Amino acid sequence: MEINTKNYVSIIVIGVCILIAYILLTDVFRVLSSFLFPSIFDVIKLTPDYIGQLFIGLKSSLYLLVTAYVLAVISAIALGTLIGLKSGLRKNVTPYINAFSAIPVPLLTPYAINLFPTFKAASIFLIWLAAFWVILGTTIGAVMSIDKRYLENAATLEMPGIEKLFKVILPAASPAILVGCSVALILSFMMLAVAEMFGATSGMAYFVQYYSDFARFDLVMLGFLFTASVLVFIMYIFDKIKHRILHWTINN
Amino acid sequence: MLDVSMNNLQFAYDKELVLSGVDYHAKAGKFICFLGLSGCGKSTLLRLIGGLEKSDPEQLLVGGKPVYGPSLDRAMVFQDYSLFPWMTAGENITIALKQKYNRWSKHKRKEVALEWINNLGLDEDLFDKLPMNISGGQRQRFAVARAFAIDAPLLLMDEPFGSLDAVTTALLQDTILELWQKEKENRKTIFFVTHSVDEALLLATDIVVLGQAPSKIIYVQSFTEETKPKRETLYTDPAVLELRNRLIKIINDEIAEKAQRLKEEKSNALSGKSKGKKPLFFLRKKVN
Repeated sequence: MEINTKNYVSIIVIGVCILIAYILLTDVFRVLSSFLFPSIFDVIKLTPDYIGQLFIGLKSSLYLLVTAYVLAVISAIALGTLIGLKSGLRKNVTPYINAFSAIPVPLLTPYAINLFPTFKAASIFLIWLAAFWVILGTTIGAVMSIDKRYLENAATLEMPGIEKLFKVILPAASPAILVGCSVALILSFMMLAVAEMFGATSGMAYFVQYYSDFARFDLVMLGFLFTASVLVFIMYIFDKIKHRILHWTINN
Repeated sequence: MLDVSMNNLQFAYDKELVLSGVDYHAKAGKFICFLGLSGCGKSTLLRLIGGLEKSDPEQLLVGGKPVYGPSLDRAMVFQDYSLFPWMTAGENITIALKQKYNRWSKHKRKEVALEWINNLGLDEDLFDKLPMNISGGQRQRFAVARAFAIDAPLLLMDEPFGSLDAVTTALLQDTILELWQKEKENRKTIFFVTHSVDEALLLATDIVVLGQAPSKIIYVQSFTEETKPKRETLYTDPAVLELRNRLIKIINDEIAEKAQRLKEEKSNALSGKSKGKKPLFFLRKKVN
């Protein structure tokens, strides 16, 4: 426990510095507009009244986020591995991947609403797509650049396809794939905000959007803080998983 | 036990000829060391036997059969990358045992792996360590343990001790010899690539010297059990010392010839005489 506290001291100090800077800019020197940047103490006072609503929003957001992200991880790693291993397939599909991945996902919102029967399905599709391209690209690159000697080592052991995939190819490519997964998780969070702006009745981004429309920037700030806390917690969990998978790397 | 026949074996990377007709028959149960300059094709020859490079089916036969790809009958130990870094050192052995003896239980695989770890003089506690957490010498011992554990009749070793210190190398050389000599009847055929004359003299029953690329065999020296140099006599036996000097001279002559050839090629390139080819560049007098 003592070690953990030591590890987090620097992080806590930076957080406190940011908080002090905000208090100085708002409550003390009033440099920032108090309308857009409310006092942090006022925001904290609102928490008990709105925490229930925020948690209902969190549940709704997590449903969209987790479903879309898990689907993206599975589909992009499966497809990316296949494309990374098959040079002929890679040559044929790369121009299409480049073309489709260049389209900003938010621009596809009308198409998603039109194509999918429900708001949830459309939202999941958009979040999935945002994460999918990033993970697909990094997986293809990671599989392509696996050191040939590992594959040769596997070949001398006559490893069958599935065993080679799970025991050699994916572990060897995992450092780069996990970088892609990490970026994709943040992108998914950003896309979640876009997805919750249409048709949603709850959600973390919906909360911010809803109170922004009523110019309740104290609640908008509360929504920001809550969303940021959730993102920090999710990234913490993700990092723990990443460290576990990459326990064999020197830099870990 | 497997014999290996090379019949005018040729190999090229793209259009660059590496081996230009290697003829050699390695009897089963021999310890053959390939010796030669860097880049002469020793490792390529080993990779061809291992099935990591494609050869003409008629030019290379292992156990009387053409080589179409890697096989568990031909265990390989590389200089690096012999172990998968994401598996523990012990798992690197058990995964090989799983491929070779797929009916063995997990317990049996671990038991055999531990037996080989002991045979290689390693501590059993290292079984659960990651390769990055053990020394280079221990890593190579695990790689050798894996190769012996799967009981492949042919063992291919590509400068396995090239990155180790002298003491660790000497200890591993002795271990390899001991393990190989222990098998009296079904002794493995070992191909060992090295650029060290002393290592070749100490380990080999047959030393095969390759010339510069595109290479051929330029010298072969075979030993019997009685004439084979030993560590104790390596630097004292006059016959061994004479052979050592002869091998060094052969390699030095190759180096001198290669240097001369490079010098001529450079000179020809400058004067535009290189096999009718245009020079790579011209020197022009600057006109003001």
